[in-house]
Order: sequence, then structure tokens, then C-alpha cells
Amino acid sequence: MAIARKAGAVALLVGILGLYTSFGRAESLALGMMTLAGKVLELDDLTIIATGNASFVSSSPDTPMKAGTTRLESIKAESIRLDLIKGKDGKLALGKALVTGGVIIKAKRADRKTGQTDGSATTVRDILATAQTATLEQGQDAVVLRGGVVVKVTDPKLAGPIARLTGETVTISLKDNKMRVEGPPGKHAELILTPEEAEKK
Amino acid sequence: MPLSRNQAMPETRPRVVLWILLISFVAATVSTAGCGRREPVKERVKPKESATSLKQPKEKKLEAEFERARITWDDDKGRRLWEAEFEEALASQTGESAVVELRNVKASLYKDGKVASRLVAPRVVADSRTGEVRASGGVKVHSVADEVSARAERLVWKSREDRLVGTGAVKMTRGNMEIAATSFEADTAMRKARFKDAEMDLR
Repeated sequence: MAIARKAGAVALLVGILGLYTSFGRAESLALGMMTLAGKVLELDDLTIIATGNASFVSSSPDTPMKAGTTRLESIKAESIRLDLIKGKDGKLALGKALVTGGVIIKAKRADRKTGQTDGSATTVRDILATAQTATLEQGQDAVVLRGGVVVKVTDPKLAGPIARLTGETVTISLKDNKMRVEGPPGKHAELILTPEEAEKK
Repeated sequence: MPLSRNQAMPETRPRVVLWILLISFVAATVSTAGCGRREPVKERVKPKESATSLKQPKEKKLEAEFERARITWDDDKGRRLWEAEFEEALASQTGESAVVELRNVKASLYKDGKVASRLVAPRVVADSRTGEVRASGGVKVHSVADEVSARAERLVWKSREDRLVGTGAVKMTRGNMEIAATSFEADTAMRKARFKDAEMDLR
């Protein structure tokens, strides 16, 4: 079993630019009620900037996640800037978020259990991403992390992350659930996958 | 502080006279025109009377009380700064400083000659020397151009700086956005604002 665990940890080095990998099928970014907090909030028309222990929390409806969906839970950083847009109904909504300084993003993703095709059985995993900056654009359904990016995907039932990605830029597409990892110039991006046998004891 | 009835009517300066005349004129206008009110508007002007008190004020001072009237305040160039309707007022002038204390106030705050925001407060003190309007007792203010409204326990409008400063249980609302904070600063029209220890909810 120990050999299987070790052998299961796959290190994959991808040269120059670009690595696409997929972890299920997320359909869209689900953002419910949003809360932005900070030591200081500055509002200028449709732009609001939080600084000093800035945090952004998305409170989605308390319903079970469907397989292939991702929910952004929270962002913490030194500064979070939200550009709001006014909808046709006059309601304000998130247009773009620019996050800078010690970025920590938490999200949950629901993946179909192996061997299941009807989506009835899902497993919810945690995503923890750290970076220097991050941008989130509602129209593009993508989160772009830059600067020493580390993304860990963990399963509550398993010890340690089941996947760990590092790179200079990581783009998490929330439409088709792909991640594009780019290494710094002249260096490789890295992906480490751990098989599910490494269960917690 | 209010003078007692038996205190002296001090020698008035032209500015004091103008001040009283302004308020009296507006009060009289309100009482005759009604200003939209059906009930007759009472006017009670009580310039204080003569006194031989041992405690003479160091500076010349005049006071007057008003009920259900309206006050307007213009700057040196004649541009309107603010105007207010109120239920009670006590106006006083000491030296170069005119102070008006108002109760149950509905005020319009001007920017560049146009109404920028409207304010409702149980108590307001306006000081001509500082150009500040201090509202307290639970203050509501909303901008005219944008659908922005704010509440705070206390609010100071610094007319010369085009600045509102609110403290205590601050809550600002703009459509489906709500910001709670311990204090805030904003321009008179509340287009730009800065909040401390704040949390914004977007529903």
C-alpha cells in the first residue's frame, strides 16, 4: 500500500508554457450574496476597494452542490478591488475583482464519483490557492492567479492534497473546469497528483 | 447659553440685525405662505430683555427663539449653502460667530448652488464661524442625484470642505448594496465615500 501511495504521487513537469488539466466539469461560478470587508472601504461610484485584512466572502444558497460545479467561498488579501456593474433591473452585481497582496482563495468543487455518470453521486473537494494577485471576471467565468501560484485540491477523506499545482500564472476556467498553468520564463510549471488510496486514518 | 429675560439687550451690530432679520423674514414668509402646511405656523421671537445682571457676558450676545420656521444660509458670495425647516430653534450671535440650534430638522445641503443632499435629524447645530453643521440623535442623509442614503448617530457637514463625516453605527445603502461601518467620510453628494472598519453586502 505504501508503495502504491508513493508510486501514486506523480510529478509532471511541463516545459515552457502551458499545461491544461481537468478535474471534472465545473459549469459556472456560483456567487450568491457577497460580503466585502476591510479596515478601510473606499467607494467611488461603482468601484469599491477594501484594504487592511481585506476579505471577500460569497454566501451561496445552502443547497447541495451539483456535480461539475464550483463555488467560490472566500478571498483574503491585502487589497481587494471590486468593479460593480449595474444590471438592467438596476441591481448592482460584480463585474470584476482585482485582488493583490498575499492572496488566499478558498473554493469548493463537486466532482462526480468515479464510475458514476448520472451525477447522482458527488464528492466535494476543497481548493486552496495562494498567489500574489488574482483577477476574477464574471463574464469570462475565470480566475487568473499570478505570482508564485500554488493550488492545492484536497479531499476531506484523504490525507494531504490530491493535487498540487505550482506556476507563475494559473488560470482556473470555471466554464469547462480547465486549469492552465504557466511557469515563469525559462522554468517549468509543476503538477503533482496523488491517488485516492492515500486515505486518512 | 440662553439669556434670562431680565438680561440686557446688548448693543447689536449690523450683522446681528441682518441675521435676525433673515430668520424673521423667512419665519414670517413661512407663516403667511404656509410652506405647504395646513396648520397655522406659529412664530415666537423672543429677543431677550434688559438686564442688570452681575454677570455680564464678555462679548456682546443676542439670542432669539423660533418655532416652526425655515432658515437659509448663504456664503459670502450669496450662494446658498443650506436651508432647513425645523420645529424649534435658538439662534445666538457672539462676536463674529452666529450659532443656530435647531430641533427636528429637515435640511437641504447645497453644492455649487444646487441641492446635493437632504438631511433629517432630531438636533442640528450650525456655526457660521466654522461653516459646520453638526447633526445628532440619529441622522439620515440621502443624495439627490444618486440613490444613496446613509444613517449615522452623528454627522458633521463641513460645508467649506464639501465633506460629510458620520460616526456611530454607520449604514449606507445604494440599491442592493449596503455598507456598515463605524465611521465614514463622503462628499456632500455621497459619490465618493471612505468607511472605517467596514463591511459591504451585495445582495
